[in-house]
Amino acid sequence: MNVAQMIDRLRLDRDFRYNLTAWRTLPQRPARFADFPPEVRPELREGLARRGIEQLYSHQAEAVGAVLRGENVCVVTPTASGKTLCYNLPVLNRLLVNPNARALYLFPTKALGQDQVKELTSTIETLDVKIGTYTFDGDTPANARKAVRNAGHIVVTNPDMLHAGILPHHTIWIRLFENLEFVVIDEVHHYRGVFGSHLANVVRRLKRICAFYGAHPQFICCSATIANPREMAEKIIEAPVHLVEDNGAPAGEKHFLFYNPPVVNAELGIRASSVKRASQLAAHLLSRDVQSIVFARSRLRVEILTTYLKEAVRKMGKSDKLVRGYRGGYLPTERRDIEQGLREGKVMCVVSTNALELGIDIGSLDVCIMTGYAGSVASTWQQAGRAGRRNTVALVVLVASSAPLDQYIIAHPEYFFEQTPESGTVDPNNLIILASHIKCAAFELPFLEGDSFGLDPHSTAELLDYLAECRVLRKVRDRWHWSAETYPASELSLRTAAPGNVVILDTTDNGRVIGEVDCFAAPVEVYQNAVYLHESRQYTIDRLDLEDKKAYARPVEVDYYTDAEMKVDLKVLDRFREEPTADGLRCTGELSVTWLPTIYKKIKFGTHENVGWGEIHLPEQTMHTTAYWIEFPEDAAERFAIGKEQLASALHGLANALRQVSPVHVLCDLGDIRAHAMLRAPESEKPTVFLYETYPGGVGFSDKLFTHHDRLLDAAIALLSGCPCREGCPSCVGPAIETGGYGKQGALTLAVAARSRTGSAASSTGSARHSREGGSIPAGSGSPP
Amino acid sequence: MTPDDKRKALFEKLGLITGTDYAKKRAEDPPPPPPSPASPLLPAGGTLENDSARRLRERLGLMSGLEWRQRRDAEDDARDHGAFEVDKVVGGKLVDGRDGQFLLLRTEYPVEHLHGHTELGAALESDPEHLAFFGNDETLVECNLEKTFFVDTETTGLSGGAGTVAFLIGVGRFQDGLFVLDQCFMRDYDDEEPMLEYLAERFADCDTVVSFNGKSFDLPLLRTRFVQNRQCFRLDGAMHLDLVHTARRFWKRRLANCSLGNLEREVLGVRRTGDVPGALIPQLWLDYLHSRDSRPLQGVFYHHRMDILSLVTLVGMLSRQLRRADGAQFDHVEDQLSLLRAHFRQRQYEKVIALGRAFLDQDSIADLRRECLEMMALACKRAARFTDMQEALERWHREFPTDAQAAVELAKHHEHRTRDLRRAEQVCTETLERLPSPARQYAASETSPSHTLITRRLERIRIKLGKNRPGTEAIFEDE
Repeated sequence: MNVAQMIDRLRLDRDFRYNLTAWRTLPQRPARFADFPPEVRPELREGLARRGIEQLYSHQAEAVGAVLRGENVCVVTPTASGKTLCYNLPVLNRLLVNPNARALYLFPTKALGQDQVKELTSTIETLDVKIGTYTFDGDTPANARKAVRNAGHIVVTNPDMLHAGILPHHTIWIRLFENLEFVVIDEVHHYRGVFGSHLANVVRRLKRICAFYGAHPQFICCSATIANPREMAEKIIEAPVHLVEDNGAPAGEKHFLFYNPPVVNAELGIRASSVKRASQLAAHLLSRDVQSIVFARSRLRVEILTTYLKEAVRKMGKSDKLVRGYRGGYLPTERRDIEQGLREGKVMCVVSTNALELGIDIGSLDVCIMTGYAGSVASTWQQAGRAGRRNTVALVVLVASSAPLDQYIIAHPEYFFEQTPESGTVDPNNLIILASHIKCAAFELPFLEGDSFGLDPHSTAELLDYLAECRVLRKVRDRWHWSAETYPASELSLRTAAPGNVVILDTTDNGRVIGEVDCFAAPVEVYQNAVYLHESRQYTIDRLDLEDKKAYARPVEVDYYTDAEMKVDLKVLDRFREEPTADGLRCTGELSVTWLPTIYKKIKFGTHENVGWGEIHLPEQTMHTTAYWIEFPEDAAERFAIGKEQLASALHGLANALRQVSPVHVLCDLGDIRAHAMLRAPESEKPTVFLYETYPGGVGFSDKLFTHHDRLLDAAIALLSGCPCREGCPSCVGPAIETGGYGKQGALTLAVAARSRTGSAASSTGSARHSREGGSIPAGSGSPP
Repeated sequence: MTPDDKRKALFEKLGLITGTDYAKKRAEDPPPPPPSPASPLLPAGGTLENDSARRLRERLGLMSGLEWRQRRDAEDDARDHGAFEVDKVVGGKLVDGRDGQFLLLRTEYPVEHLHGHTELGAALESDPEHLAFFGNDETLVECNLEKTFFVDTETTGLSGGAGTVAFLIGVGRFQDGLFVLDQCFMRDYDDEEPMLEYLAERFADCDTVVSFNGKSFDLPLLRTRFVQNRQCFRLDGAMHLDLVHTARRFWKRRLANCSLGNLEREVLGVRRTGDVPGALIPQLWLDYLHSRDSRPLQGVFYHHRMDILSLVTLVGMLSRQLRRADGAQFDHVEDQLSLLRAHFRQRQYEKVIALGRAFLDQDSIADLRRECLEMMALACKRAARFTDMQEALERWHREFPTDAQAAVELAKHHEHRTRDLRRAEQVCTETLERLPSPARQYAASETSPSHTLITRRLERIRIKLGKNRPGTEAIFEDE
């Protein structure tokens, strides 16, 4: 059975269609070709022709042309549109002219880098010249490193290795830096938030070293579709880029379905498991011999789905080798094996985390099933791009989970299909990140008076003087020198935002790791005597060791769960910006956040009775960060007719809802932002809802939220009004038990009131159904064509 | 918060005042009443001033508070006037570069100068072939000892990388009948450029470098410094004898720790006095940058000089040992065996055989004899001296009758060369009989490695003899 037949069959399936909220058909798109730019050397064209590439797609030709003119380029194209050629072609072309030239490729993961080298090597083989292409990463054996340094024309690495392994040793990479002409940064959309802020600083350091050796490389960036690729690329490389976004690659017809599992418990707002539904669908495809990819959000879900599906194929009397799991933590050889199996059709179904969302070559599949919303419009399109060959029909199904964000998206398909993808955020000048990189940069080369690093020369000098006062640097005459015994790059990791995670160990099972929580959440989730739920098993925590970042747990069977009460104190240190809203203010600024868990309650399953409590003895923690907040007038309770008692739960509900929808507009993870509501905020003494960043100092999310204030509130309104629950559920404001009965309605009222003046007219009726300018479509209305 | 601020805050919190403040206050306040003889306790904050107290202080070598303050003030004064600058404390002279100065401390030693048991001049007499031998590097036969530089650095860290600075670079060489040791020192970061300029000029004359761990540490680091200062690094083209590898080859067997310090104690007989531990050196220099008090650096200069002198005598001592008549060149049997191994590694099999015979003629530890026999047998094989090989193998087998490897090698020799399969079988069966029963030592399912080794060989031989009985049990049944 082919995909078209499969789609026809689904169209006739009444039960299936009943749970769909959208069925969109994306039309076929023909290829648009363009000639090779005249500068491309004939031997390279012949080589490509031998690999079957006779013509370039229009976007490739534009990108290559711009690079050859000497511009920095950012190419924005979906999966499988031939973007690697956009940088490989000009780089190889240059190497044919100047065999001394060098190029540096940066990929966010080692696997991608190794993939790239394979691809490059096969292109180079057709050229009959000696061009050395090597990966240089943690896996490169010590005895091969010297060869890479001296003979590698193209060095493929990752930002972490560049930061800790190459830049601090630039004197032995002199060949590379003296002749560096191209820096390729692939998957730019991946470098958002903290990681991107670090990368921008690593690029600053790279440019500094290149300048020392007299090189001024050109940058070629590639990105998946996001709202602001130019801004992202320009922030990371700090130079203007030529944006290429007119995709000339062909695509077949694509059907995009939104599937919402039916509600099984209306009171608690619980839906049928998305994992079950996705696996049923995938099993169905397997029985019809249709090749598919299933995305799941966590490693655990990947394992569960793989187990279900393997069982299913065995029942069909087929080999369970047809189904493979794919995620971080698998061995590289295992992964290569799966990738090859997919290309050759030996693997019919692969279950993956977002590891396969990045540009690893697995060929194209017929169907893509997403178990849960990928977290952002950009990733969803990336994942969807895995399905679809150039001239056949493809099917993409998004199966929503009951998480608030999923429910918002599934109920508002127009949001997904019409909205531009999220914008990525980087803040290279986060003081903590910047200062760490200035240290690394000073280690690499002394700073001269008048130098600038991200900041203007005067502010750079101020920061350098500060570091000199701390005796990390020493200023002599007009130079600041690194002046400590340590190696600063080894103390700085580019990826971890928080100071690390607390791992949860099962003491009855040889200390097996059963899960982890970030340090921020540990005191409220894994305090002593807490009941920790994992894979629907209960564990009680015997001890939390914050210093060693370990929580010791053992399995128990009790009929209650625990809920910690945390005393959070916020202090506004500084206001950066504020704007009036209809009845109050919205602001961004710097906060000092102090949190202290005080007691926990034992709450019985089912009845939600409070059956006991205990104290939590843990130290208080403090952090300075940036935040975005909404202030309501002091008389909010009267003005909005909420009632004094209910105001607290309304604020709490709004805080929860805002936090849940914040990833809709800002490319961040749920864990990057926390929410807190206060009846009387210190200083202003007004009812306030705070959204603050979890990375000390913040990395720019607050600013983005401030800018998208109205759209954020619209999303929250849509989420609340679209949710079928009565009094609040985990899919919107949080369970009614937490927010109180009035939480949902009150939150809605507040959200409407918090819109800024200009947009408030649309919502002034108080009807929360008015959500977005386009008007919202009630859940379940998206019908198949 | 600067350390000063911190100190102030601490003083305030504890209600203390500084010595100067106290002195001022005391000058203003009326003097405290003299302590009554009945109360021997100190008046608060003061010093007991009477005859017995003075006598007691003298006897204990203590100072009165006043004396201490005076001395401290004098010290501060001296520091402010540059009395503790390095050229005053350590000596040496300031050398001008194009843009700045650095400190050069030159020490000249007569070649007869004894460092431990060996005089420096011993190195000068060494034969380049010997250097090539213990450096395990053929190119060193070309080296000219007059143009050999002994190099060592003191740095701000061990991790390497572009931000690690060599603040003290030592270069020693033989010149006009003397050993001339230049210690180039950075008084601050801006001294680096003139210092490297000077060194670049000096390195122009260098054809060989001798170092301790210089191949992986000092030279790459120096190279980085030269590159960063955009100066030409001439040592890249020089030959290099890195004694850390030599030391490991010759002494690893006897000394677990082959650090230069340990070699000095165990091999060279050097005793250091007033040394500083190497691990403290980076911080001492970083502290000096702020305090400008170079007195703690005296130990660093001493440590650095001693390191370089040890390089020289290590070379001298090794080549002197090699020059002695063959045989007992080293006093320790472990070292003799290491020498044997070194010859073996360089494929000088005749030498191995000769030295090995001499070695076996003396008493030594069984383990070492076994190793020597194994090496000799293999050397004979490589040199195609099969009669000697058989002799060595038989001696090995005789002296170590339960050694499976000896038995197997001997059996193989008879199997392949003398074609005496009977003898080969006999060697194996005899040895098997001598081995402790596997049942006693190992679980029934397992068998000892020695057994496996020999029975496997035995099976092969028996197949050739045409009387193979399959399985290993059959063999054990015989017994």
